[in-house]
Amino acid sequence: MLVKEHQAGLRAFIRRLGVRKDAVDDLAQEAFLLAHLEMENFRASEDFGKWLRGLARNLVRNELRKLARRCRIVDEGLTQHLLIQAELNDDEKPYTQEDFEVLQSCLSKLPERSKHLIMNRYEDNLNATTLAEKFKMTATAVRLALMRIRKQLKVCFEKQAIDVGS
Amino acid sequence: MSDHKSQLRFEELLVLFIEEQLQAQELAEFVELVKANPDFSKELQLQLEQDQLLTLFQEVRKSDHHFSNKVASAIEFQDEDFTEKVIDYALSYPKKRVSSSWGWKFLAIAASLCLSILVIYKWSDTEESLHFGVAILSQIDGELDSTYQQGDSLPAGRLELKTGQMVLTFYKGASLSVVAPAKLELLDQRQVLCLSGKIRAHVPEVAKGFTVLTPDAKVVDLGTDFGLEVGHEGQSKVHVFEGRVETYSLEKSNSDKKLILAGQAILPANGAMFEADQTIFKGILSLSEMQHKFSFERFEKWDALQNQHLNDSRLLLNYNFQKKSEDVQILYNLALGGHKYDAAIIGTAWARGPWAYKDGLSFRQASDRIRFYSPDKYRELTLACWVRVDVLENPLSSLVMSDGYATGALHWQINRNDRSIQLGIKHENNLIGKYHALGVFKDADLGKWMHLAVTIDLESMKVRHYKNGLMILERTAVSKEPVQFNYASLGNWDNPIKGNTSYVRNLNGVMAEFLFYSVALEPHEIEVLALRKNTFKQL
Repeated sequence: MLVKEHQAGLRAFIRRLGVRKDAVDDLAQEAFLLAHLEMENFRASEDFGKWLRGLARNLVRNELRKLARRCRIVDEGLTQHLLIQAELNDDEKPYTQEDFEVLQSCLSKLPERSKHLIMNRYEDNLNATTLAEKFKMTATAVRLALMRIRKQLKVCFEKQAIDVGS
Repeated sequence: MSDHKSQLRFEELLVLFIEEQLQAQELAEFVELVKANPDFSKELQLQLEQDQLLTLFQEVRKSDHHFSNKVASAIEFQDEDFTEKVIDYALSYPKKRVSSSWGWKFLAIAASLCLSILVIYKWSDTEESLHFGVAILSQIDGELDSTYQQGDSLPAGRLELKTGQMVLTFYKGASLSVVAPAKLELLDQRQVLCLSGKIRAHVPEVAKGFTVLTPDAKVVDLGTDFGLEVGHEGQSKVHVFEGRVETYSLEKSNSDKKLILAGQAILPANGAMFEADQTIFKGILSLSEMQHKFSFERFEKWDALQNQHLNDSRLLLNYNFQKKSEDVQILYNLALGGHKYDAAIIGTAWARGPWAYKDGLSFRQASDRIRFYSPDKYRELTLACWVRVDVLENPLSSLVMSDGYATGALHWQINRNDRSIQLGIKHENNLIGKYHALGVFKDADLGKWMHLAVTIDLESMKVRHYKNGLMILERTAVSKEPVQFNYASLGNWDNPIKGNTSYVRNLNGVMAEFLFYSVALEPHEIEVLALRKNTFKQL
């Protein structure tokens, strides 16, 4: 139950620390395993998600030490910077399973072409070059379009979350 | 670079970074831009987060279950790589998460936990478990020369019943009632050697061919009921009460097969025939008779103990789990003057207890629990329960646990992974006392009634675990600070993590008694509670 509830937020959090996309799940899994082992040290008064993110941060810091033998971090300096940012902003509300419903609603509000671009990118896992051919755009334009859509979704998400909250 | 140009360059690099397409030089440039501009840093985090969420979203119908299952599976089958990572972690950050003294403790505990789990699972993952039993010790009311207990599976080998009676049920279907003194050797699932003693065999049709060897004879049952006496000199007499048996003398001069019918008896050594005599075996009880007798005797012993409990001022909580028709949701505290600490029954169902007239409460669902309140703090205490664990469905199965993990909290539970019966105490200053009896909960314990107890004496710093009245572990306590239940649950744990979410640690089985004393009882007193002895000596 706990894994199900916290997995999405934790995986998004780990990615925000500059972890390679294909290593995010591994690190999230290790964080849950560590939480399982350390469960006795978890205090009921604590926020479990916050505690879990603390474990994940330490695992990512640990990655920095062994960068030479296993490269799960894109850039050491960048991750150092992002770790500090994460600690400074640790009170941000993490994503939960329910937030996917909000995301679904935001996706449905996108213009058709944007929706197709997102679906092709994330559902069909097409890269920018392939998408460029399909949508008759340059690869750079595809990447920039995706960037803007992601930003729109974030704005929509925050607005909807506020609406739901109020 | 102007702000606009800088923004364009950042975006150009950002989209490539998201796709992990940046060259080394571009990456260095990108990192510098991010570090220098907080807005770029925020934008980067936003893009990474959204990219990850969109990836997850598209997988969500399968991925959350898939990921959850992966974690569950990894917890079950922790690999060496994970052990290494945990050790790395503990070595790297001992001061961040844990105090300096706890760093090493955590390391040692984590490593030992991982290794013990590895040993268990590496073995069980690659090989099927082997079972060496030939018979079950179905009932015993007496003393064996070994530590086998009722319900245990017995391997081939010698077995001596020194006093009393017992019933063995062989895996092929025959059952054997045995009266002491008797010496047997279990040969396999259909053969037993009786060196001395008096036995009565019941062999159903399915077990036809069951064979009893004696020093001077071989008795092959053809589906029947027969009695056998083997004297100290090894001479045997066979009495057939129903059906028929074949006997063979082991004397070379007289080794012909003899067919013995109901009502007949034989001295196989010389072939002399005479009339079967039921009276010789009159005292030998069948399995059902013995179970009946045993069950009532247990009840009488337990009932006598209830009367002693009524006057025992050391007893704080006495939940005897006997169903009261007038209120099925309250479990009354029958301790002297302790009625104010009656417990609430939530979700559990009434079930049969371990013996005649004894009730129990069955825990099945994650919500099943019995809630009680005990606000006082103690430096000495004893917890004891009659419990039958049917399956270890969860990694941890609660016997009794304080809510949450406040200072002084007590957690008594069974760990599926290392098969420990564990007592955890949250001492002062976040010091956690882990008084775990590793590997003491056996597969064979599943589905069997057992008496478990734990005593804590923080003055003498001793924590003792007992199973079926016998001490199985003594540990030194790490703190003298008093402990308390406060609000607590039997057979579950109430530890809200977020909203209504909490850990699933419910017991799967039946509990039939829970006692809580304000003193650490002595070993002989625990034997009394486990009904191994009749009365308390010092009451």
